[in-house]
Amino acid sequence: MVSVHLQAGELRDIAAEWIQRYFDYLSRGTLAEGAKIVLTKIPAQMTCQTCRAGFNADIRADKIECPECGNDKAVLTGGDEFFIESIEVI
Amino acid sequence: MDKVRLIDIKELILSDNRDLAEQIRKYLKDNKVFMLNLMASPGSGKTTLIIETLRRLKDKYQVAVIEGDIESQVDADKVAAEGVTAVQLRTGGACHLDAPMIKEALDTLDLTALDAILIENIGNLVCPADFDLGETCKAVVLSVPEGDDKALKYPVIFSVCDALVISKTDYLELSDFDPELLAESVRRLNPSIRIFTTSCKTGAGLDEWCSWLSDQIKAATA
Repeated sequence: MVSVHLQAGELRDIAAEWIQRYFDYLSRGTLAEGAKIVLTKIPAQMTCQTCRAGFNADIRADKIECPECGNDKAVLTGGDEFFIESIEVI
Repeated sequence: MDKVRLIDIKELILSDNRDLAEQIRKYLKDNKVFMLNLMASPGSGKTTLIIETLRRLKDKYQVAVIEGDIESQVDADKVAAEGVTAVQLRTGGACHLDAPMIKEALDTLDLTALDAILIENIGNLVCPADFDLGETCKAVVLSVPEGDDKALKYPVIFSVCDALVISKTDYLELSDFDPELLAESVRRLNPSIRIFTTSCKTGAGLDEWCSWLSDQIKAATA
């Protein structure tokens, strides 16, 4: 196994370096030994309650507003994903 | 040179927890039992809120409590002292509860004799937010001494909860904590969240919180 491609939403508190460290420990002596973990972050998605536009949001920002209409009433619609996208093998 | 092949997996991590949580949710629904997942940091007043809640609801409903702690069973003893069934889960180091632990606790309870189960999660504002326990509702407690900026620092937990209980408001006079500022930052992430401002010392806001909880229990047991 060459690499493991993970996708994690911005709402998941995933620390890439720790995942690699634990993976290295657990994969010792298996076919997965030495594989690199490649983590891709998926932005938090919000949907504006006023104009229904979907947008990527920085949830740690002081203010979140819709880039289309400027309203600040929006609901979270994505960003908690956490899955294995693919693996690369030889 | 061997060729590198890409294999599509597209498999959810934590899918076994999610599947078990869905089974628990169905099991509760079939037995008409409400379950609350109460989360907060250590020392925010989760156990005290549970005790005060039991005092107000235990004559109306059959309630049991699942206590999650890393060590000890002091919290379960406090609940048992109120005459309420308590199941202590000791995680021995794990920083959150997960669905398999809840399944184990539920197996020791007679669901046909219960209306509601209150779960006190491990004191932690990060990991518990990621694990579905099969609960009917999630609530987070935040105490005044912790500060009104916590929704900015721990956005996930505030975005997944149905209710926020601000506790220890008897400390408000001594602090810069602004409940409005907190409410504003929480509603930005989660516009439909219910917010209760409470003090277990003075009893302020507890009736409102219990009345909301009572409505949720009624809806689940109907």
